[in-house]
Amino acid sequence: MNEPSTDRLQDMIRDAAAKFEYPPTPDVARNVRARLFSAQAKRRPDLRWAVALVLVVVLGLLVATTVPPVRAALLRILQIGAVQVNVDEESIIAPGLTPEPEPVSIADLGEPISMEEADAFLTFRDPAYPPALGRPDVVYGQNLIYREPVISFFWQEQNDRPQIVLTQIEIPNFGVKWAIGDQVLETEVGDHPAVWIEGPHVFDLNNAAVDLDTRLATNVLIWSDGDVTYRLEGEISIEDARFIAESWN
Amino acid sequence: MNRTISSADETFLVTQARNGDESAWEQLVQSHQDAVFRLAYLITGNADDAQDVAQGVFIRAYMKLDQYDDGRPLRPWLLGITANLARNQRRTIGRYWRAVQRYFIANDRELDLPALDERMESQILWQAIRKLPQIYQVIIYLRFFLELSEAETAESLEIARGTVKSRSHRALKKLQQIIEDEYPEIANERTFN
Repeated sequence: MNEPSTDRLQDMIRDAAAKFEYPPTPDVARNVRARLFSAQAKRRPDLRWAVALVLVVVLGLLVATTVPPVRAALLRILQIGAVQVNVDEESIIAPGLTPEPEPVSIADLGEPISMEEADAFLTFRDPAYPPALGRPDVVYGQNLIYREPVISFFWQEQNDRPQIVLTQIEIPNFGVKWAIGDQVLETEVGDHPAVWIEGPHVFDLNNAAVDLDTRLATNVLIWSDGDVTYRLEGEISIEDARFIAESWN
Repeated sequence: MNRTISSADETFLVTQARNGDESAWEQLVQSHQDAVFRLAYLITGNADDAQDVAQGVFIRAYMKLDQYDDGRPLRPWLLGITANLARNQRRTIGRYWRAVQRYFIANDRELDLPALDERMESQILWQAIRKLPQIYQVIIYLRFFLELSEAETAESLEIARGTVKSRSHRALKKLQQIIEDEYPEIANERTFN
């Protein structure tokens, strides 16, 4: 068959689009009005802060404090690339009372894509994944239709190594973490600023495709390099996390 | 109902909606619901899902009105949200569909799908487009089905105009190949060369 010209193909698509039979548009406005303007659903500010606050309060119930229960928390805010870390400097964690972190949900990571597809979105590194971990078991992509993709490498638990997720983030505001002061350590990966958070902490994901996505994350190392932010999560030590990250720099 | 609103009126209505004017937002929904529903339908392939997505788009957009730059046209912004929500909806549908397929394969039964030659050419072409990666589908829907300009498409997808051009070109080349390989009946009806 001869090589078709894209001009003809464009004409064909325009013809098809003009003749395309869509289902009748439903009365979206009426349903939106019912859902949006009912007495219970008035417009309100972004709920992420409220949900995160509630979770922090829940976390706080598991925290022993030496100060009176009603007081203003002293917050330190760290910004590492696309991730903001809000650190409660006053509370301390009571031994044995920490909640269990929730495992990473595959739905959080996006759609599975091939390593070759991921290559098109990854910043230049050779190899494309940390040599210390080897080729990932699965690669996931989010936001791929935009110019700010989020690519996650996923290594399944095996032998003595726990499940590990490494995410390369190019969107400007990926999420907010809430942690207690003792959990947070400012560190470095190579020459790049990094933050280590040890133990369960609230992670509020800013994802345009998800209304509110908040969970308790486990140990995580976050660092940034230019416009790209990296997030390495798993039940590993800070030494192992930095070793993995620096094997890739 | 789909009412056309001028750019100046649209800016005014957005301001009113930000101040809590419910009827202002309703007018904007009526003005853009066709485009939003149609893009959602093209991506999800299902009218019920498209309706859910369309409602979600206008609810989400209203909640995020403070983040909207009213110096820019509203429609590309709404269509960008639509593409994202519909894609997420389709992911859920995709999981369900794969489960159905596995069931039929496991039970050695054939799926009762209508033959392609029973469909209109535009429907066949849509099936071909749906075989493209999502990134290319969306750009074809926006450029050719919803007739957005390159600039509007760039606004919707938050990419540069040059990227719209290169991505469109790659999408068309891939679509050509799919048509030649899998839908020769429509390739042969059109003399491309």
